[in-house]
Amino acid sequence: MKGLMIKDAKLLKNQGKILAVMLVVVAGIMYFATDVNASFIVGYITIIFAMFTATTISYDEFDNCYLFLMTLPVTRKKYVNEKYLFALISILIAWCVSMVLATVVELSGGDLLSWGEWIGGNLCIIFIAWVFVSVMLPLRLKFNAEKARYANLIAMGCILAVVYIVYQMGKLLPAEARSRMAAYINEIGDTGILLVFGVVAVAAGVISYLCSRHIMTRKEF
Amino acid sequence: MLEINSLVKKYGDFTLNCTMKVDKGRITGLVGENGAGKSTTFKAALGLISYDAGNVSLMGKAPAELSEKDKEKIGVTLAESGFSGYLKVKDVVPVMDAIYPEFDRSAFLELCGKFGVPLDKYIKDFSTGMKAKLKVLAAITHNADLLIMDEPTTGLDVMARERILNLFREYMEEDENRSILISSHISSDLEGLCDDIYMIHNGQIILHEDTDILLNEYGLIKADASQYEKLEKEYILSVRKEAFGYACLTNQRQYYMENYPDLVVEKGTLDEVITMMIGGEKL
Repeated sequence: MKGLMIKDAKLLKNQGKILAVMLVVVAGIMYFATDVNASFIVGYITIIFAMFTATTISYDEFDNCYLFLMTLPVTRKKYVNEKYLFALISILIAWCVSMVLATVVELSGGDLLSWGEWIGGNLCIIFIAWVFVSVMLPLRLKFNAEKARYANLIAMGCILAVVYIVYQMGKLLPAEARSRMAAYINEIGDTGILLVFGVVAVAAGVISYLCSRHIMTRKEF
Repeated sequence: MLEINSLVKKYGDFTLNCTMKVDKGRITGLVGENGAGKSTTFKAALGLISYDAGNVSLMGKAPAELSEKDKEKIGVTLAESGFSGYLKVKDVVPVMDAIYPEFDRSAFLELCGKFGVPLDKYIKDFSTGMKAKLKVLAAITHNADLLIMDEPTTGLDVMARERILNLFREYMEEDENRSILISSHISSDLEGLCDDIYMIHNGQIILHEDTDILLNEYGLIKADASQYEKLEKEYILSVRKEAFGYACLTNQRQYYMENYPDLVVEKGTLDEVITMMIGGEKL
């Protein structure tokens, strides 16, 4: 697995440099030119970078490289494990780097009120990025680059649709039920919300991993 | 080292039906035209595709059961696959180092220099020949016991081809227990390298013979109509109608040379055997 990690790190180093610079520049422009807060920098950089890690599968696919990789001392299971581990490490690195940048921006503006709130609030971005990766990886393993692009759009669209429907249905609830829910959210507090994000991310990761393992086992090269 | 028994793989109209064996200490060739089933055989042998019937034993195990340790002892080149084009050779070195415990980094780098494989250039920008060389060099520098080489000389010029074939010979000389399975559509490559050769056509193995026998005992008889009429047909493998009469492939060249002194009996070459086996009519 170490060899595969090195391979993906080299691919990222060769192909991700421009993306990294672009992300920082775009995040900076967005922050200074619009009224988004510093958390946008963290969210934007972490999530886009995380999605890029899933595209290392495209590089494996280029020139039928997949086929050759599977002849190396690498099992299909290890290949899947490596993709998830690599994505997780990439998310953590992107989050740390973007946190440093965003914190500098926050400090220079004198907007940082509470470290706990600042770090805790941004921690949920890791979970969101992980959910994105969890959706992308099995789709990317199942379909080729072209089909996966459409599959990703459909999957993301479905997630947004579900969120929208849940939100709209929430509005239909009686006022009493809504206020009870609001009270419950208040009660569990920031830590509780973070925990919910964490549970959702872990569940998404487990389901996604099992799907990827299944897809890879049955894959014909 | 490798044993394929009654392997059947169906792709639409195409059916591969293959039985072959690669013994320890031998170089076995697989020859056939494009689309004959060579790459499918390789993929099935390596567990990259499922198959409909039959069984494969690679280093004593079914391909799906091979552990990482087992795979460390196999060096593979595939016709249309290799390292990602978005890597450079200098990126491949640490990958190989991490994947193969017995990877000989210095030998690999030395061979890259000797064969003109650039270290600091994206593989996607390599010529076909350079890519072919890289694949072979990566396969032979981690102390594998078995090399499975699908069209390793494709895209190479004559000189480079000969140098690569010499690498295979040196690889075999280093350890008598090593084996190679190699496919090529360039029959002269196989003639000078292999101990035995399988010929595949339309997914079927149509001939298996030791190379020495193939080159020394097979022959091409050229006979006009009356000579052909009188010809003993027992040792004729296939016949093809030609402008002058008949071309006949035999595996008993000596017999016809001794008993039919008026006949033209040419020494067999792999190309002629292939042409006659595929294009000729079996008797």
